[in-house]
Amino acid sequence: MVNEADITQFSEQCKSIFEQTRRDIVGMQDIVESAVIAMIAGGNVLLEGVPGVGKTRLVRTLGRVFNLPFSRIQFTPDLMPADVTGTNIVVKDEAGNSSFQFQPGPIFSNIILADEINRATPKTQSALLEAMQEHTVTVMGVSRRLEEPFFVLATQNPIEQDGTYPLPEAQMDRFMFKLIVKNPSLDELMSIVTMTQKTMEETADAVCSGEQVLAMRRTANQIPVAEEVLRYAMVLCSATHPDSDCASEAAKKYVRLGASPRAGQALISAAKVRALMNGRFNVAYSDLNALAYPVLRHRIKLNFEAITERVSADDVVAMILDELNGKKPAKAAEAPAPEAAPAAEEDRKKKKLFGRKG
Amino acid sequence: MKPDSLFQEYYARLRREGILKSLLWGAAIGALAAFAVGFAGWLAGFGGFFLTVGVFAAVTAGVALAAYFLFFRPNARAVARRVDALGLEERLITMLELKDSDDYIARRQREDAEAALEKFGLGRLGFALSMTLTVLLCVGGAFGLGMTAVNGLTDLGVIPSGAQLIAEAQGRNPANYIDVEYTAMTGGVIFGEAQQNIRKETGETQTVIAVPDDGYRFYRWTDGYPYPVRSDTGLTEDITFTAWFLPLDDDGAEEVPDGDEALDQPPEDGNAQEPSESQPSEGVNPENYDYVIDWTIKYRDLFDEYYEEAMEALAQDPDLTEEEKQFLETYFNALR
Repeated sequence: MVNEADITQFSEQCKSIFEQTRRDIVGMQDIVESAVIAMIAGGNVLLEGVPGVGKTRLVRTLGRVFNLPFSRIQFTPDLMPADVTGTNIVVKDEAGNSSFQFQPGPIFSNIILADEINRATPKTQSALLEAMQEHTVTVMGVSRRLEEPFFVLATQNPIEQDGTYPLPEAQMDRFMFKLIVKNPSLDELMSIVTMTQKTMEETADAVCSGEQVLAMRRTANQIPVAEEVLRYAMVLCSATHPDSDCASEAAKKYVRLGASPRAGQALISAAKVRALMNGRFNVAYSDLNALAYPVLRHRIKLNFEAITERVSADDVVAMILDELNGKKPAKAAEAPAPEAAPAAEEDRKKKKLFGRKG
Repeated sequence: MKPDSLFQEYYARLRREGILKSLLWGAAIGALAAFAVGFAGWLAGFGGFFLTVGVFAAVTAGVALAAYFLFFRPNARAVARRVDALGLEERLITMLELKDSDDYIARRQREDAEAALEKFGLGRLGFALSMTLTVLLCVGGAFGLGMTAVNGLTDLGVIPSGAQLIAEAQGRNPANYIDVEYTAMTGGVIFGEAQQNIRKETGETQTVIAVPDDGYRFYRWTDGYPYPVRSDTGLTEDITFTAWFLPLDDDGAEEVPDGDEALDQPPEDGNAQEPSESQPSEGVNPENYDYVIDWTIKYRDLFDEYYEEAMEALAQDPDLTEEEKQFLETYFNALR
């Protein structure tokens, strides 16, 4: 059972994590918060951004802050599955007998930085599937359990698509969040340059152990979700399906394939962490609305009409949220910007949510 | 503190709001119903002011009661939802679900919700009126009140009823019209409007002519009027006039009835009528045609004289259009 100490520890740990992260990361507070939420909730994160915006540094910093074994895998087209999972090698004992011995790959760590994941072949990408979802690795018919907590923080570059292999839906679905890392603002850029002129070393201290992360996850899992709020979350996920009973107009128009049930699980798990992080003991609609973008954007498969009209997945999520909140859906061009949208969404008043009559 | 007791003042506030909303919905729908019934009554000429007011009161009461008990009567969940929506981030609705739980998180959640609720003033719970209700109230109020006033004024005789206005507009009030029919017995036809629906107020008909077939001559109308051309004035009730024709014998001489006896003789088909009180118009003054009743003169011999007179009258008649003049001229030419 959760007690006062767990709650206190949770809030203190969160405070420390953000403090330490700020020492090495300038700006990106919403990205850092989302990444930490995903890590506490036990999800994997896909970071997408152009080169040089600090994706890898962010992941390295989180690895340091969480004081967990950290592996970096640079994905390239010639990377093989065994390079990720490890393989059996032949070893001879003192008596000269040969036997197979498993040589663990870099995936046997707590935090995996899968850098430029879309540069590896689908075969190698798929080597991560089992590890990401079930936290096990099977080599030559033998399954090995990965040590908890286990996170994959992957990065990918949205440009320079030549020679890349877009992640298949099955793998995308295993990422709890997809976070879009934008270019820093002018002030942030000045701070970054000033800071790195002094030293390039990362100074964040480890403040959270693996055990503490697991304890925080257990605490967050106890946060209650009212039935109406849970229903809203499920409606939000179902609304992305063009064929579902509660399909939104935006989904009917722009979506070919909606979010999976895994999205609903991710939404609720992350919302619990976010609520507790904000000092609440219940999940609110604002948590779900804020997390809808990172949870749903990579799980929505757009159709040809959306592509031709330059409607993005974030636009569709914004339209769905507007529909559910009883507002007139914004036009694609007027939809909130990708990462600004969650913050803006929080400020919106909710008058007509599903199952609510104010 | 239990959630239910925590909500008492909010519950009372929302109950008042529910009653008010129900009454407003009732009034809006009642006003529309009053308008519908009042308008129908005004058009059909029944009901009136008191029916309109009665319908308004009855529908308002019925709808308000139904609306309150079906939609606007608050319960704990509704109160929690309403307060949460104003900034408490679903704290109260979650608290309701956890009210029977005594674990640490549930207690902390209750404390958190109560603390948030204490900061939250009752005054922030504004009165929410939907756009639909506002529009209904405006439209229903305007139409309902307007129709009630119209019915009241109609009852007082200040303005006519819809039925009267429509009858006036369409000119179709049967009580103000009579039917006049001109028919012919064997041996001739009626030229002109044989069946006329005329205003009782004037009692004036259009001119018709009784024209004999070959081998016949006009004798008289059954009301005793002796000339074939006639138009009537002063008619007050439905009436039928029948033209009577007599056959000519083989040498062209007509069979002449005996003077007064002929006049008293009933028509062959037994449709004789009493002479009407109507008077032929001046356009067919008997003085101009007195020789017609002289039975020794043949109709044909006098036609040219008639024709010239008719053409002259036709040319000078300012009420006839060119088309009508041409039509009559053609008719006379055909007779010639």
